[in-house]
Amino acid sequence: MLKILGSILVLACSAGLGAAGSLDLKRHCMELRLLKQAVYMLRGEIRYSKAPLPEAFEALAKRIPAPFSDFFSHLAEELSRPGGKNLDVLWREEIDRSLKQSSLRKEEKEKLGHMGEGLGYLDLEMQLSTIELYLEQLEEDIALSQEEIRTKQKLYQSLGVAGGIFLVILLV
Amino acid sequence: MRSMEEITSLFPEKICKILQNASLDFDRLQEIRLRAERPLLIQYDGQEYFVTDMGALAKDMRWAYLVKSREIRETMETVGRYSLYAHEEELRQGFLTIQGGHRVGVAGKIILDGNRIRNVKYISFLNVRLSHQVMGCGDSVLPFLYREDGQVCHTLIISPPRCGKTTLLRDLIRQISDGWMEEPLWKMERQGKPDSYTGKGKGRIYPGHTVGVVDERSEIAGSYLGVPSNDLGIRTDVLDCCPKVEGMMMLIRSMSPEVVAVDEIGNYEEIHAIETVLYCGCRLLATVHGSSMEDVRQKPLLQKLVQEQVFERYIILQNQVRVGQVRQILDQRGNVIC
Repeated sequence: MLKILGSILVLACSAGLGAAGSLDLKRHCMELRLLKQAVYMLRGEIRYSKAPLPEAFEALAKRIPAPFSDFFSHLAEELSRPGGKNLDVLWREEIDRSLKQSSLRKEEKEKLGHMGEGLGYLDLEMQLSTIELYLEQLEEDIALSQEEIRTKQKLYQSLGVAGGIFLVILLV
Repeated sequence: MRSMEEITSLFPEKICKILQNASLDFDRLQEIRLRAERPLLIQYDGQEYFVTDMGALAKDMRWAYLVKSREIRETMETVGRYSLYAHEEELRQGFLTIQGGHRVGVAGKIILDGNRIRNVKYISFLNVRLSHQVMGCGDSVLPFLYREDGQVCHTLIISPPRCGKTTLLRDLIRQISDGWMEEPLWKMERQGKPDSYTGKGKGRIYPGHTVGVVDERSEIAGSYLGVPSNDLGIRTDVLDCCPKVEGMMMLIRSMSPEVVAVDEIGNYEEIHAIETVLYCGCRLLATVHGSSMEDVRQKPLLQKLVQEQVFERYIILQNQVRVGQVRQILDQRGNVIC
């Protein structure tokens, strides 16, 4: 009886691990989509209302969910602080702080960091080109992430269950 | 003190500390001038001073703090809120207005697009001109700006630069909007003021009027996120950063003001828009650069308005004794009434 109960527990845990792996993939894709939405909104704020960056970030923070709401609201706060650092430095620091718990990968954070280097520099066209370039990269990342979900989601789930069965056989 | 902190925080650490050490009185500070590799200069109490490393005011430039090019660049980043693209239109005119209505004039290398100024780069000269709201500075002229029927006269403030025309305009807007009461005669006599000061009607109450302000350079209201930083009265609507020509028409259509106020009129389109304002039955409060009535008569565009006796009052300012000092008030025929 105890063995059956233990086996069920091991199987459930292992299947759960597989499901968590697949959920991580989905979360990653969802966060990339959210980021795309935020960048679109930033482009709108800059293109149509010519809002200065602190104002645009503040407006964005109210309209998008975490973790990006924290990212933009902290950034708006930092930029409004007197005697502040350069925008690109603050942007990168904020990525490390606010997006620490996000599922964005290192190279994706790197690309986001590059966008910050181009913001605030030169004229309106420069801002829009910087954002357009980043949006293109983001599209590619989203496509890759969707492909990853398609190929790996089932793999994670089956591996979870199969791993569980294997453990049960091994232990029992 | 908050206003002084707002100003010092525009500058990089070193200059910020110097200005803080100088313990300047905001109301007496008029200008801060930064030029790359040149001494830090301020206009304080109508006098020019060099500022030393320790924050002392000096008349000898040997002790002055030399401003670095990097510090000007950093100041521009803060002033432009890391977003100079949002101030392109203002930069083309050579200045940008910051929170509080203070004006930061810039000079550097001009980038041309054909014959049109596209932008300014290598900004190496900055002039931070502080805007002060002087409550009550319009008290002495206000009694002369009303007709017998209580309507505000069409008024033109004529003033050379830095004589306080925007400050006067701001206070007139506030008082016309809020409404005010002339001091009773007994009170004026007790204060030793001459009878002529009281203008018309002793102790008369002037009810408030709806005022529409077209604040093209954000100098009058000093709006931040659309809300005026300066007190412009309870019945005032402000169109911030709006060109005067379009703004005057918009206000008339949308807010039906009784009085329309604009700063620094000058070009043909603006004069034409003013005529439309007059036809709509609004009262006009405007300022123009000039030093005398003759000066205005010689300006081809304003000449017509003067000849047609459109303006019922001309207020001429000077700064020989103090900024914002009224030299003369004239009626529509050019007769001195004060």
